[in-house]
Amino acid sequence: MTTPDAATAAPSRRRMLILDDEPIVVKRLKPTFQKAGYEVAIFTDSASALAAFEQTPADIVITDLKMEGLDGIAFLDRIKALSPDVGVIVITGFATLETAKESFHKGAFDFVAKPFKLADILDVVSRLETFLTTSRHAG
Amino acid sequence: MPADPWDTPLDPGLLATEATRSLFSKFRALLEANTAALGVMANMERMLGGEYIFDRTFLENSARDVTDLAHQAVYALNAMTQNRHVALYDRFMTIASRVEDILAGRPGADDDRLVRPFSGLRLEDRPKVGASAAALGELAGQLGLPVPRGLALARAAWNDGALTEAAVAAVRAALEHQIDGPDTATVTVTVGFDGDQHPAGWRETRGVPAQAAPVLAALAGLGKAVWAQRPDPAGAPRLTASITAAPPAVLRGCVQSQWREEDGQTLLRLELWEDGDDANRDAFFLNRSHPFAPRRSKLSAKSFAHRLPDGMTPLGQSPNGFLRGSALLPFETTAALAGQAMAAERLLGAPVELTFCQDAAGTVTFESVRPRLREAAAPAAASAPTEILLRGGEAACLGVVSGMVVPVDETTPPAEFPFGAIAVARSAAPALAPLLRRAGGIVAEVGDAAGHLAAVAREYRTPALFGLPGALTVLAKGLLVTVDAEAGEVRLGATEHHPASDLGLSPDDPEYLTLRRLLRRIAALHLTDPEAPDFSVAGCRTLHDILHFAHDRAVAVLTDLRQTGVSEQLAKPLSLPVPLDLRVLDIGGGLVSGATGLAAVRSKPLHALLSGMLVPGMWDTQPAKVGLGDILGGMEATMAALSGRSGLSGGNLAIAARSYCNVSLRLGYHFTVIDAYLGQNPEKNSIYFRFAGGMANAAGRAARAAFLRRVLDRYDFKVTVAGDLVVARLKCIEPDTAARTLEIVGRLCAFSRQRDTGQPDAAALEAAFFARDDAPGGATGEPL
Repeated sequence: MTTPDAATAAPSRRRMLILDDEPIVVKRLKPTFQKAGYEVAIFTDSASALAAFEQTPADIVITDLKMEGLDGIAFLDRIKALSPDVGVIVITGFATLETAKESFHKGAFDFVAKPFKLADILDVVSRLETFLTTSRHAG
Repeated sequence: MPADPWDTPLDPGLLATEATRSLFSKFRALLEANTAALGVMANMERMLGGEYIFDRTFLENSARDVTDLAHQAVYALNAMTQNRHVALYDRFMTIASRVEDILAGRPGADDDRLVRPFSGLRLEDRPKVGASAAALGELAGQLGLPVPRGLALARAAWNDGALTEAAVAAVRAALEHQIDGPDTATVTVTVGFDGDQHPAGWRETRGVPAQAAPVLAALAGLGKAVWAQRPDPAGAPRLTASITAAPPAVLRGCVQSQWREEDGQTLLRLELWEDGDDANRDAFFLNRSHPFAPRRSKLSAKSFAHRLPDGMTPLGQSPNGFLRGSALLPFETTAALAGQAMAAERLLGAPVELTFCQDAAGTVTFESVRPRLREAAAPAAASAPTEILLRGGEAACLGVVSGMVVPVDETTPPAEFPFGAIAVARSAAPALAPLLRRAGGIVAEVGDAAGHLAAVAREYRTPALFGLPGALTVLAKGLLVTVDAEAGEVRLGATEHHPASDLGLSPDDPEYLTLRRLLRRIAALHLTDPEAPDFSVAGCRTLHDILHFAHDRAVAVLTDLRQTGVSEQLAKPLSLPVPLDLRVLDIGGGLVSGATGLAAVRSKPLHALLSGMLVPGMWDTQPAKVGLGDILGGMEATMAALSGRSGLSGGNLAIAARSYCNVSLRLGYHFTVIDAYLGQNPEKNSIYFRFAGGMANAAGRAARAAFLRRVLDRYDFKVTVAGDLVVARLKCIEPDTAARTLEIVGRLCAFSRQRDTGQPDAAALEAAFFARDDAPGGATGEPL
């Protein structure tokens, strides 16, 4: 189930970008976050996602790791360089301690292994929102 | 991290020979493979409920994991039996290659027949036979909706609008042999393009004699006509077709589950006409949620003397004392049709158009279903602010549904449950499964997403929310509520929803269909009774069958060891304060050296089971009251049981490891097998219980079987009963629950001795069983 808090966690239509090379993942995440109040853009290839991010940076990015072309870590690197404040959540079906460590090292907020519950990803995004709000106030 | 139970050193005095040690080692490997595979399969099945986001990588990894584990089990069994089951390798390879076909997206060799009966079709057969036939099979097979017997022609039966030679031969054969096909005087032949993108391309001919020549002529004619209308001559898809038995009809109709009104409201539209008079139609527009209140209607003009389908005239008096009126169907019937259409929409994940007919006796048959797969699902309407009645619980199957509350329990007759209503239960007991075919949604105070009822809810795509304390009190009978499984809420009042779009995972998603195909080939279990003739290598149709067969035969090897006397030296007698001549064969961590009695049992499942057997008052030591009728009546069954593999001579045997036990008991004249795994991972925990035989007459044995069923149902077992044979399974259980349930099973084993004699009554036995103050579930027998 979704946590009710998640539905109210998106202040003033924050922008979210979701990138996964498997259409089923982005197709299913999109309505969940739209329902939670986000403006959601979905991509199944990292080049298009990067181009879109360069045009209009998102507040929150959910990205897969293992993809053709620019992989998730490289994508994470690039968007962090463009927008250091972006909150990034990494999702992957190939979860290892090494990939998790590397994701955190590159600035990911959290690392979620597939398959995951919708409630879990909503919870992570809710925590990220709190973190971003606190960081903004602290800054 | 708890210590690996298999690391526990074996008692050096126990294993007499290296060969025996090797045997036990192979058995442990097989057991590990079996339990690990059960965990992976349970995880895959959970994905159907829509709560998880998964991808193709997950499907591939899971399918290949189970395949590898099944291979290990086959290897271990052959290593244990000097390759007596080599044929199981071949069977395994065949099934494994079919799993690979599915992963590769190939249609596969599941069923390549050009002509197939509706009854065997499911949604995942859509690529082969088209959306309409696959959906009709799904409605019949999953929801139990009445559909006509009939045959579907695969897409491969057509080539450029003409039947292939192979298809002509297949149609001839199917009609000549009438294999699950039409055997009435006439049939309806339908031909069209698949899906709903070419609705104008569907053509049908009714009243075709059910013989090969006229049916083939109709197919050829319709195929040619439809093909000529193909909208894109260069890239038109292949045709699909069906041959359907024509049920007798006095009334015909069509339900559209989504009908958009001019003011933007979405209603359900039902159109009716008398057979042969389709120019004069009644139209009803109903709410889309239970109780499906009529919003407006448009009735055709009828004379006062007009004889309606139920035999009455418009001015005749109804049973409720009012005048009959001129509508072709009374409200109760239209509401039931609406509920069935909404269940179909939920199951198929898309708005549907169902055609049906009704005979003179009022029996409805759904003749066709067109899922509007490509119709854009209406966006969910903004929910009116409603009061939250309950919040929390665990979603067993996602979805949002509104309807009136109907409290239910295990005694609720499924046929009396109103289509589309919200079932509210104390416990998510498996006995409620038949209700889910009719319920719009279900809420239970006790239960979780891992139980059997949760799996059934996912199968029917019925929104289900379990683990909501106070539901029976708060949700009073007749209250109109909305169940939102995703939000974990039950709200007061109805909300306009579009169930087709509420559940995130749609049957139209390729991943959903792939998951279903994989589960069908991997997790379905067809071999259930080891004594049945089809419990064989040839009977294995899935990887689960392979694993179950290998496990059963491996246990038999260890049991045989004892029968040949080898294990007499290996199995230790266990001294207990009840007359149970039990010996324990320790295969690793099952016993504690130097201890006696129950304290000597280190095996967690065996300890729990024996604890239940030792509960004071369960073990009746008085001689049974056996009459001559009991003796004569029981002889046949008893002799049969004694001659079977379960009929062990001598005492009782437990094969035990730290987290596993397999116990064969002969208590009095009945035979019991308990096979249980109890570790820290709930998804690997399982209990299998098999009970058969008895001294009494058939009625006494049946009463005892009914008693066992009643008790096991309470504890969420999936139970099947055939005569005096009771087989019960429980999977995916929390360790504490598994231990307490095994105690109950132990109590049952002790209590059930000699309870078939005299004139037993299942309800009285159940009351006596739960009357013990020291029952683990309490004197009231509340489920754990």
